[in-house]
Amino acid sequence: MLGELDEGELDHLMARLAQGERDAFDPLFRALHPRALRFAGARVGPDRAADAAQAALVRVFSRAGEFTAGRPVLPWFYAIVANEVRAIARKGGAGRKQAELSAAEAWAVTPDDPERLLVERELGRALERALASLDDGSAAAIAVVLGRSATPEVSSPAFRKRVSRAYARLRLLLGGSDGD
Amino acid sequence: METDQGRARRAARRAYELGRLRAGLGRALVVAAAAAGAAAIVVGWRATAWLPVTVVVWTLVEWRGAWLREGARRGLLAGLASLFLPLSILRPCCSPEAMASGMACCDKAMPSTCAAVGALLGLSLALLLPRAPRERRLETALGMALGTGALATLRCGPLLLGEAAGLLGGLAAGVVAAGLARAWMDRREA
Repeated sequence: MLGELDEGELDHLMARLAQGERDAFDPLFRALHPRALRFAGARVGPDRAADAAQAALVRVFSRAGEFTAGRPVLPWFYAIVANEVRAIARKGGAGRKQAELSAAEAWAVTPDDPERLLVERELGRALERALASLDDGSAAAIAVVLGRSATPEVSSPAFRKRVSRAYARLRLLLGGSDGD
Repeated sequence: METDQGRARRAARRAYELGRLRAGLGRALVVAAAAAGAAAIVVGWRATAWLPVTVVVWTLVEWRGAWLREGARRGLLAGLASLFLPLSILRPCCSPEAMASGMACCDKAMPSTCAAVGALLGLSLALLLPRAPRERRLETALGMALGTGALATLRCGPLLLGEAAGLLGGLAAGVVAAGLARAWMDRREA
């Protein structure tokens, strides 16, 4: 089980922690640590999972003050954790060939691994929450890219511009900056 | 022996505090730069000698956050107002009229006047006090005092030590009195 708090409670706790309310730290840590561990385990394997999860959580909590209240926390959390775990996987693969490096970025467990399935399900839900937080225009543009709806009747450059704007908004929502 | 989770928790907590401190220092530098500009124009460059106090206090306030920061942000306005207090109010016998009439006390400290002006300014903060939960009111009032003091310190440059202490003490007393009055009013409303 991935923590006992529902996502709304997690959003609220992270918003409070961002404001400086320290009593939100422990429940939030207890809810996020198993998630980071599970994600890291599925990506870099159980041997390096604990260290990777710790590095990822250090990154998440050092940026807690930047979290914007009212936004969903899990898409933001997973974006940071994924970046950190990917960086660790690459570091571990220093000196290897490109094909091996790509493999290091892939899953470390089989597709039917229950932990991986759980992580994938939550990642999917986090992405859906992030998309739901976007404005209608941006959400529609991303839906077209994901093949969920037909391309609107606008010129190709106008649509590309719309998609680029939608990506920029999604990146911001996931804790990146405009230039990321 | 410490578990992986315990070690991760400790590292995450340290990262959280350091992250807040770093962000707090950044914001404190912005506040200090703006305050330095205002103080240099209104009080003179001598005032900027107190700028490290503003940076340290504001970094502390931003690092702690929560209601301390909420109060401090409101207190900043009162601190700004204190910068614009003319020296002739803080030291009445230094006004051109008083000196023309032969009063020669300009070299003496007048902490009582400064304390009275500070208290008046502090009391006016009652209008700005945020509605904090009962258990956080002390923290909020302390934040207001710190926020006010962070800027009012810059006003102390041209004052003698006793006057500076009077102004800051008056402000702190005014803020505390305003906080108590607000708590009393809230209790009556409830």
